Amino acid sequence: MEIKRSVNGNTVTFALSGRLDTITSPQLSKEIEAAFEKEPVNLVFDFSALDYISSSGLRVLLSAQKKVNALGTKMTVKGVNDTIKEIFEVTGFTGILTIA
Amino acid sequence: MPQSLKVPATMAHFEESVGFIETHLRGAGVDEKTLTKILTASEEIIVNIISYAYQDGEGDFEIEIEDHPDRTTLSFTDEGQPFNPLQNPDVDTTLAANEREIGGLGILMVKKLMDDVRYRFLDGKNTLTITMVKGA
Repeated sequence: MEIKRSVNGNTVTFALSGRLDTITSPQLSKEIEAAFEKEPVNLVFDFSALDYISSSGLRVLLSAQKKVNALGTKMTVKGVNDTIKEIFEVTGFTGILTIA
Repeated sequence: MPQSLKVPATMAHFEESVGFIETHLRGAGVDEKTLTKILTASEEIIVNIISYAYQDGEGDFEIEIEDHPDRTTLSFTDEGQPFNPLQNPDVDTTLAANEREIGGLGILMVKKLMDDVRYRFLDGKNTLTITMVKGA
């Protein structure tokens, strides 16, 4: 998996490619933690080039959403492919995340 | 002919296992969407075996792939603690983010993404079998 991070004001965008799985999820988790180090930020996840997500990836998104909720900032997930959309639906994540 | 791979149940063999499944399913001409679903379900099953099957020691697990004209079936077998992952109730997917627990998502994904999931314990072995029906 590759993570491209870009910052625009207080919004941090993570563009992911490849697989957000057991091996790569901790890497994203660290990047998200680092993004919150200085100030409360909005998060955008660009999944246009992401092939699949595992439950460990879902857990990273859930904890990021909880963090954002606690801070009163915003989080959006965009560019979701059909299979990942189905995974969000069957796990109830469509009700938790803001999917653009 | 079923294709099989037997490796030690450690994270060092995780990528090899997923790679084995991907290579064989691609070779069998399984479509991309089905492939993604099977790989997603397989990862959850493999990670569970590696994490929990051999709590008190070491052991192997085996993956068997059978591609038929009407369906694709994968079996995951270990000789660890008897454990039926299908016995627990599903997680409540209607809760808000702050009320959601982090456990139980993996097996839920397996159940929802696959057309059929079966567990059996026979001769000291746990086997979880997943099936995707073609053209469903």
